[in-house]
Amino acid sequence: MVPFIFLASSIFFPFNDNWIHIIDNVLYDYFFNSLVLALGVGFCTFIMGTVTAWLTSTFHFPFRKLISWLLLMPLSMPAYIIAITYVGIIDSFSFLPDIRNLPGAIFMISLVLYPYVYILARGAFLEQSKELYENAQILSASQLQIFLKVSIPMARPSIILGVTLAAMEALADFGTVEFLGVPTFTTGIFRTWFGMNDTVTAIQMSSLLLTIVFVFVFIEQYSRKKVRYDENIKTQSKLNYKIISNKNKFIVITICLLPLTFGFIIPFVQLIYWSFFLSNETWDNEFFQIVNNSIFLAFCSALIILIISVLVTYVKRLNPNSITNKFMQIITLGYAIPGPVVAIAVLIPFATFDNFINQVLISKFNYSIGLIFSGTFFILIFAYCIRFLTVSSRTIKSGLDSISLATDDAAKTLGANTQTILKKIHFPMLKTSLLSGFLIVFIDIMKELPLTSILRPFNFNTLSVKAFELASDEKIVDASNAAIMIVLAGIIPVVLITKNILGKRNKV
Amino acid sequence: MQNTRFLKNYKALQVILILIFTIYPSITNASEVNVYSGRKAKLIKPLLDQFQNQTGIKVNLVTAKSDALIKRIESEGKSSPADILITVDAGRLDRAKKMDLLQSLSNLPVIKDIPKHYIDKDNKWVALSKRIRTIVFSKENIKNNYIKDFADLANEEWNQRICVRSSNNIYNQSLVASLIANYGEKNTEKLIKRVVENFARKPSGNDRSQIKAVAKNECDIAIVNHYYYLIMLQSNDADQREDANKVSLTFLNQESTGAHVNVSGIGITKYSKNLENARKLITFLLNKKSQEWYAAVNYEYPVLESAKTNELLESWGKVILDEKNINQLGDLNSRAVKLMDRVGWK
Amino acid sequence: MNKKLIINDLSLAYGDNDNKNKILSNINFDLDESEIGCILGPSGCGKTSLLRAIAGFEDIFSGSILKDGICISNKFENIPVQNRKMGMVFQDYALFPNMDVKSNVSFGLQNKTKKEKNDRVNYLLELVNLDKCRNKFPQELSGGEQQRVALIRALAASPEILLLDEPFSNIDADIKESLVSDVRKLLKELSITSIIVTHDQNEAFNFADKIAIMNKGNIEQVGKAYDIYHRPVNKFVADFVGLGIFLPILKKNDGTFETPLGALELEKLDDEMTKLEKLELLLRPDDVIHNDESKTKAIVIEKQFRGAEFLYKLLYNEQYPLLCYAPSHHDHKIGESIGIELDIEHYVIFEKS
Repeated sequence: MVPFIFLASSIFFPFNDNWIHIIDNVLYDYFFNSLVLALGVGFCTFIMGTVTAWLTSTFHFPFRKLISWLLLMPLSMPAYIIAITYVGIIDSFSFLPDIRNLPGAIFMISLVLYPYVYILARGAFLEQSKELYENAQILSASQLQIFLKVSIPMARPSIILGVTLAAMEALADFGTVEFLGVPTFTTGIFRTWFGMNDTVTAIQMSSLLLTIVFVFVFIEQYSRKKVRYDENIKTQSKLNYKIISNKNKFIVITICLLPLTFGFIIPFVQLIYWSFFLSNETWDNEFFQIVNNSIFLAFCSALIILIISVLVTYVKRLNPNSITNKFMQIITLGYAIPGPVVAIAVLIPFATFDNFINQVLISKFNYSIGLIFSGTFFILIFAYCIRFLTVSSRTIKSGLDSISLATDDAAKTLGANTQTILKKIHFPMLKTSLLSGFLIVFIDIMKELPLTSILRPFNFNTLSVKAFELASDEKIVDASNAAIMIVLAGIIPVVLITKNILGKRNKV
Repeated sequence: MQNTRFLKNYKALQVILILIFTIYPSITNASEVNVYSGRKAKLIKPLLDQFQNQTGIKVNLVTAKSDALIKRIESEGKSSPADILITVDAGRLDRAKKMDLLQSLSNLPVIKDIPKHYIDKDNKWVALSKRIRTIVFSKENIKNNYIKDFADLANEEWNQRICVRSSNNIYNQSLVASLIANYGEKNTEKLIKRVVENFARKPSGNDRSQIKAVAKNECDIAIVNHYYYLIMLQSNDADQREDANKVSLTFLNQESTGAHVNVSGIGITKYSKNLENARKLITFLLNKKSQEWYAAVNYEYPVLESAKTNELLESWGKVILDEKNINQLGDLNSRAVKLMDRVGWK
Repeated sequence: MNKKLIINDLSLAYGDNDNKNKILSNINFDLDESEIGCILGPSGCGKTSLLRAIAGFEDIFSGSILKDGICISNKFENIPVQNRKMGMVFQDYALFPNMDVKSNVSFGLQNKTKKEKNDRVNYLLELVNLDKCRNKFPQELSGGEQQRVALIRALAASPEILLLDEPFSNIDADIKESLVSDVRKLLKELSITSIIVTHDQNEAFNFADKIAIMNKGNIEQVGKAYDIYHRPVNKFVADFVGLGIFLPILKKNDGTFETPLGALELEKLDDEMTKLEKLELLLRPDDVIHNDESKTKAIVIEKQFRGAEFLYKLLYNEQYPLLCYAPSHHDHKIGESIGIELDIEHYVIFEKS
C-alpha cells in the first residue's frame, strides 16, 4: 500500500514549470497515442484472442490440440524483441508495410499479448453449457450468431479481464513504442524523468495515468454489476467439438495459424537464425548461470505472488465489504504503472525505512547492518507483487467466483475447518486458475525488465536484462540467445498450462 | 474464524520468509568494491573481471539506466552499498554531483594524465571513454561531401533527406545541449527547427536503423554515433557490412567548434565504504591497457592520450572535438529536451 | 421431556446497528428426539435464514438456540458450524465437483480409519441404492442421484440433527412423492431429528411430524399437518395451506349465523369469534360434498381431473364461488348445474378484512 500512497501523495507536491511545457507541447500527443494504443491493443487482442479461442474450442480439425497450445507461445516473446525483429525483417523486404508508427506498435504489442485473452476466453468457452448452446440452435441461430450472441456475452467477464490486462500492459510499455517512434504517456514519463531530470513531474504523470486507468476499470466494473453471470454447475454436459467440412477445416486452421505465425514462428525463426549464424555470444557457463537465475527468480516470485493473491482473494470472499478489499482494488491496478515508476515508488519508502533502522542502530549500538530491504531480493519481489498482483489475483478471483458459497457451507456442516476447505475443495477446484495465474506471472517476470534491472542485488543478471542491454546497445543479433532462452523457459509453463486447461475436456 | 485466518497468514508468511532467505545474497566479503553501472554489463564487466583477477578485490556489479541508479543511490542515502557510479554520459555524472552523491577524486594520481576537459571542474568525476556524434551519408547520392558543419543540415537542400532516432535518446539530447552551449538557445531552436523540417521520416529505431535507412536510400544523411558505423563495418552479418559500405562517415565542425563528443565516466559515491578499493578500481580503469580495451571492443576513443586506439580509428586521424562544454551538458539537458518538444522532434 | 432442539425468541437481522433490517423476529420452535419438523412458507419468508441460523451460518440478533438443553447460539456466542454435529442437505446439493461419489460421502469422516470410512460409505450407498455410482463424479449423476448422494453425505458422520433446505425442489414430480416417503422412512429408521425447509405443502404433509408455517419472518402456526389444514389460526395459514374459499357470514338479530348456503350450527361456533362484527367461513373442497339429490345447486365453471377425483370450481347463486371434490365417475360438463351440500366438521371463522 505504501508505494501507492507515495504515488498518490505526489499530487500534493507543487507542480512546476515543466507541466506548463508538457501541456503546451506534448501532452495531447501522449494522451492521444496512449489512448489509441490502449484501445487498439484492447480491440486487436479481443479479436485475435476470442476468435482463436472460439475456433479451437468449438470445431474439430486436424492438429487442434497442437495448435491450441502453440497459440499461447507468443506470450513468452518480449514485445520489444518482436518489434526489433520485425523491423529487421521489414528492412530486408522493402515491399512490406512500415511498422514504425502507431498502428505498427498496436499490431506488435497485440501479437504478443493476445494470449491473455485467448487463454481466459478459451477457459470460459469450454465451461459453457451444451444446453445453452443447443437452445440457441433450436432458435435457429447460425454458428456465427451463437458465437456473437451467446458465447461472447457469456464469457464477457473473462474476455474483459484478458483485454484489460493487455491494454494495461500496453500502456506501461516503453521499449516497443520508443523503438517504433510512438510517443506515449509512458515515454513521456521517462522523458521527463531522464531528459528533464524531473522525477516529481514524472511521478505526477504516472499518478495521472493511473487515475485514468482507474476510471476506465471502474466504469467497466460498474457496468458489469447490473448483469450477473451465474455459472450453474448442475448436470451440464460439455459441448462436443463440431465436425466440419474439409474446406472449413482449412479455413479454421489458416485463421488459427495467422497470429501464431506472426506472433511466434516468424520472429522465433529470425532469432534462431541470428543466434546460430551471426551471434558473437557463446553458450557458456556464465550464460547458463543467468538462465538459472532468471528461472529461479521468476519461479520464487511467482509462487510468492500466488500465495499473496490467494490470501487477498480469500479475504475478499470471506468479508466482501472490508476496507482491505477497497485497498486491494487499487493495488491490483499496479499493472498499468510503468516499471521504473513502481521501482521508485518502492525504493524510496523502503530505503527511508532502512536508513531509519541504521540510524537507530548506530546511535544505540554504534553498529550498522546496511540495507535490509532495498538492494535485496525482498524489494525486488515486493515490486513484482505490486506490478503483477493484478494478473494472478484476478485470475484466481475468476476461478474462486465460480465455486458457489453453498459448497463452503456444505463442507462446514461436514465438520471441515477453513484450512480443510482450502486444501480439499478449493485448491483442487482452483488448480487450473492457480496454475494459469502462476504461469502468466512466471512468464511475465521472465520478460520483465525495468524493475529487475533497477532493483536487483549485485551480480545478479537475468535473461531479460541481458537481452535488453544487448538490444538497446544495438546488438539485437547478440541478444538473440537470451531472447531464445526467455521463449524456451516460457514454453515449459505454456505446455503445463495446456495440459491442464486444454486437457480438461478430455477427462470429462 | 479470526484465529484460523491468522494462522493461515502466519503460515504463508513463513513460506515467504524461507523463500526470501534461501535467495538472500550471501554476506559479502571484506575486500570488495560495489559498482552501480549505467554502462551495459557487456561493455564493462570484462574489465572489472580483469581487475578482480589482478587485485583479488571482489567487484560487485549492478547495471541499469543511469538515472535509475542515481535515484537508487539517492534514496539509499547513507546506507547505500554503492562505491562507484559509472554512467554513459557526463550529464548524468554532473547530475549526481549536483545531488551531492559523489566525493572528490582530487588526490588520485592517475587523474594528472587525463586532459582537463575530461575531468569535472570540482574533481568529482572523470571520463572513461569518448563517443563522437556525427553523420554518415550515402556514397551513391552525395558524391562530393560538402557538409562541414552541423548547421549545414538545416539547408533546404536536405529537405526530406535526413534520418535520426527519437529525441528520447540521450545522444540527441546531449547533441542539442552542446548546440545550446555553443550558439545559445534562440539560435539553436531556429537551427533545429529547420533540421527537423528536413527529416525524411518520423524518428524511430536506433542508430543502426538510421545507417540502414541511408543504405536503403530512404534518406541520404543519418545522425549517428561513430562506433555504430564501425561495428556494422566489422559485423558477422553480410547485410550489415554491405549497408555500412554504402555510406561514408564524416566528422562535423572540424573547422569550427569541433565534433560533438559525449563521454562515459566514473565517480566515487559520497558514502563509499570501500574507498581505497574504489580508488584502485578507477586507477585501473584509467591505465593504458584498460583504456585501449574500449577502442578494441567498442571502437570508443580512450580519454588517456597515450593509449593507442583501434586501426580504424587511427585511420581517421586526429579528430577535433568540442571538449570545452562537456561539463555543462548535464545542466543544459532539460532545456534541450524542451526545445526538441517545441520544434516537434518526436 | 427433554427437547432435542429449542429455538427461543430468535431474531435475525442484517445491516449495521442503527439500521437493522430484521428478517426473523421472535421465532419459537422445538423438536423432540427423532422428530421431523418442517418450516413451510412462501419464498422470501425467511425460512432458509432460520435453517442457516440453526446450522450456525448466521449470527443471531437476539434469543437463543438450544441443543439437548445446551445453548449453541445466542447474541454473544455462536458455536462454529463445524462443532454443532448437524448435517445439512443443500437446495442445489453443493456436491464437491472435484470429488467422486465415495469421496463426497466420506468427506465428513475425517478422523476415521480407511476401513471404517469404506464400510460406512458402502453401507450408506447401499441404503440408497447407489452402490454402482461410487466412482462416478457429480456431473455424471441424475438429479435424483445427486440428491441421494447429498443426503447420505450429510448422514455419513451421524449428525444429531439433519437440516434439509428445499431438498426436493429440483426433483422431477413423478419420482418426488416416492422419494419423499423413502427419505422419511430412512430418517425414521435412523431416528434422526430433522428439519426440512420447503414451500411445497404436500412435501411438508408427507414428510414432517410437525409443521411451522412462516410468513414475513414470523412463525404463524406450529402444529401437525391435520391441525394446520383444518384448524388454521389465521387467514394467512388458511390461504397458504390447502385450497379453500371464504364465504361471508351474516349475523342475525336473533343470535344465529347464516351463510348463503344455510345456517351454521351454533354449538360448533367458537365464542370468541362470534363477538366480532364481520365474519367469514373457510370452506375447504372436502367440506363441500357433491350430491345429485341435493336441492342446493351450483354451476360448474372450471374442472380439473385428478385421477381418482375431480376438483370442481362452482358458482353458487351467481356470486359465490365454491370448490368441491367429487369422485371421478361423476363427470359433469362445464355449465352444468349440480347438487351440493355442506359437511363441515369444524367451523373455521375469521374476521372479514
